[in-house]
Amino acid sequence: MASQNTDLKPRKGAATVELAFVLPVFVALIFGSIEVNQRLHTKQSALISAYESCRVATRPISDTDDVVTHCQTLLTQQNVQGATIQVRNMTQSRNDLVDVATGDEIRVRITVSWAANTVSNYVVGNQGNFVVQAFMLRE
Amino acid sequence: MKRHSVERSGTIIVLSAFVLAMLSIIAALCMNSAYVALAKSEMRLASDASAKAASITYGMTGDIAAARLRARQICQRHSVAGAPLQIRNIDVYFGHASQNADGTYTFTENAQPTNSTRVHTSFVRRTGSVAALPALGQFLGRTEFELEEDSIATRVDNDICLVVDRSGSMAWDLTNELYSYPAELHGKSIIQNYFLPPHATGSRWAALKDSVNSFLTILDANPYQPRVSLVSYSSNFDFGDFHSDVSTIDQPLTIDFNSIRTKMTEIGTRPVIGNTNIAAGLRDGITTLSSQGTSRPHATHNIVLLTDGVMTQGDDPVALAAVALSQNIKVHTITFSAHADQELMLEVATAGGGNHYHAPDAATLTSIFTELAETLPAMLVQ
Repeated sequence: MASQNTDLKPRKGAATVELAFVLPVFVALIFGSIEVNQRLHTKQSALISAYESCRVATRPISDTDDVVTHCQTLLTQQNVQGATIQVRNMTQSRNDLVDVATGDEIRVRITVSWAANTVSNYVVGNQGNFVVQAFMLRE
Repeated sequence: MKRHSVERSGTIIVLSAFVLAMLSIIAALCMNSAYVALAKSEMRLASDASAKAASITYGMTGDIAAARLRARQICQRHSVAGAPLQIRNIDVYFGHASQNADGTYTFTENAQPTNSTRVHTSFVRRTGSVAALPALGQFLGRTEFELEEDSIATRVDNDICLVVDRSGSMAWDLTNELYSYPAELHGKSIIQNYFLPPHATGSRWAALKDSVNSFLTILDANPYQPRVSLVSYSSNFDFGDFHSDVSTIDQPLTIDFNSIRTKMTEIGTRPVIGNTNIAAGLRDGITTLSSQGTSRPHATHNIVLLTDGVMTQGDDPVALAAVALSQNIKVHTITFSAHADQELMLEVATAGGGNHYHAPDAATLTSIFTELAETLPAMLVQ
């Protein structure tokens, strides 16, 4: 029995050391995977919001408030936090839909903070903001 | 025993290496799938926006080259997988899309009348060509991916009925004063003026005729060929040789807008007499847009109902507007002059699913008709 105990010690130590080496790799892989996929998902959600809002912006009777409200609703429904919305009439170089004319190019731009939309940023880190935008012509 | 334990040391490393490899593959698959899904959404957005831009530009100009250019410009504004998406002129197609029984649309290239544009996008035309997979591409046996999208924007056929007021007040001038007649008629006997045709330039009818003409001119230039009908209304009225029917379908749906201009002129050559039976005109408007043979079942149907006064007889136009909406006919209303019943006409428009406009003067009336003519919707069908 005594010799058995003596023999076990080196094996236990080796396992601990081995685990100490691989555990950070496991943690980095799991958290990295979660963070990257969460960011891709957030960007996808913001992109869909920009697209749908831009379609609202192209309607003949929509004004700036309609577009912003619609966009905010979509972002909330998709749990996107910390977003700023800009509606711009590119043709007339103004940040609203006042006096917008048929055929004017409208841009809906959403700027989203990465940090506000992730459960962790241990691996990928805080990457500031990302921007999604949609361009369409006014009907 | 010692030998045995030495053999087992390192098993955690081996096991971890195996689990790590498995986890890495799963993580890479998830990451690549999410990345491709994002790129696909970006491509769909670019493709849809581009097709819509082509449709709107073609609707405004009738110029295929201009429509293609605009589609390319809008497409290039959008990034897909980190690079601008480009298309060529030959990636923008024009043709006719018709609705199937199941509600889907079938696009036929170069078919007439042109009502649709199709845009084909592909990574082959994207700046930077194909896109690289972000994670472990070589390990998964594929380092890059390719996407293609087709978007079709269809300008829905439009059938429009103009329902115009030809009651006695339409012969008044534009001063918003009751019983005030324009130009040489001003100050003369009201009875005498009542049985004279409306003044050719200074009357409300003349202003309406000009506005309708502007409306039709814009539609004339629309390559999507909307159809327009004309209904006029007042009330049944007989006095000696003078006669008025409560409502008449002056022109069924047509693409020949000169016939509508002619009818407007003809009405203006006779005295416009009688009271204001809005419901009678609205009812005939619904009839022209729901009659088989001339009305297109898959078209959008819109009534533009104008009055310069107050409903003086007839049944409830609000209830009738709701009936119209139940038949997929939208009712837009325009009040012209300060004495028009804006409240009622707002209710009519609300019940009819349309918009209400108020024109205090002739210039506003023209701008309203212009806006209505220019805002025929484009619709993405794929």
